[in-house]
Amino acid sequence: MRKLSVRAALALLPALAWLAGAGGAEAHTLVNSGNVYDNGNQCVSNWTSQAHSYNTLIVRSLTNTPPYHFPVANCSYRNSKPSGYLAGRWESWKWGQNVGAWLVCGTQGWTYGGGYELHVGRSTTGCGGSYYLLQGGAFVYNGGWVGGWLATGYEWLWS
Amino acid sequence: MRKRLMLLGTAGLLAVVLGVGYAASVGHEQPTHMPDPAADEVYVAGPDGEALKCNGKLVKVKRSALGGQKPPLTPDQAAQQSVLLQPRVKVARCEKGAKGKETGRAVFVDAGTESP
Repeated sequence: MRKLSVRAALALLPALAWLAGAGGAEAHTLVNSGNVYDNGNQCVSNWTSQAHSYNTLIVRSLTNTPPYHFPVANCSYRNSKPSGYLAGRWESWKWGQNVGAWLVCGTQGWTYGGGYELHVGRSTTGCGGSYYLLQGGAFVYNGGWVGGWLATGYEWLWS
Repeated sequence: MRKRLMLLGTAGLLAVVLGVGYAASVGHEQPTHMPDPAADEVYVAGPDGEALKCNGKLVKVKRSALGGQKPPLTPDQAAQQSVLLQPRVKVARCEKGAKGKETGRAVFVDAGTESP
């Protein structure tokens, strides 16, 4: 009987540990995405993501104009550009509890590319446990740089 | 008696584990606001992860020092750069003068290359 009780208690431990973890601020992926520019002919899509401490920004150049005889659809078709016409940058922000303000933990400089999609991704230099969010800027050159910034929500990270 | 003790022990263990989980969930001060995208100057994190202080004073940096709101290069200029290497992460550190004394300003350097 005693052995059975001990085994039952041991079997419960993983479940209890999981419950404790679920009660805490568990890290997961935060994403904010959407079109940050749309003039009908040229659209810029911004996909900003904070996955634990890995930061990703995806810039997409899109258009309403279909290839061949497909139907016109809002910002749905690829609009490939020459090299240097797509640009993206992200900033990782940490909540500074001591000053009651957001601090920039790190930023990756502007990355440029071509085609219809540009990926910018890198781990943040850890700034210690706190709430973190990511801001990403997505731009396409269309006679001038057009696009915009998006920010994810924030979550607690230990790094 | 043993059964009661076992039940009591299990209940105690449950309370400790749930208590730790609850404390972890409520122990952090939530941000009171979101970053202001229109702010001209911002605080930056230093080597210890806290707000950077230079010469003992909190410093703010211009948003333009982070890279600006829009890309600074034209496509022609950008195409001259290597597209194979993405830029390294930049972090803020106190600027030091000729004799190693802090000037009170912050500069951005490549992460991992900064001096202590």
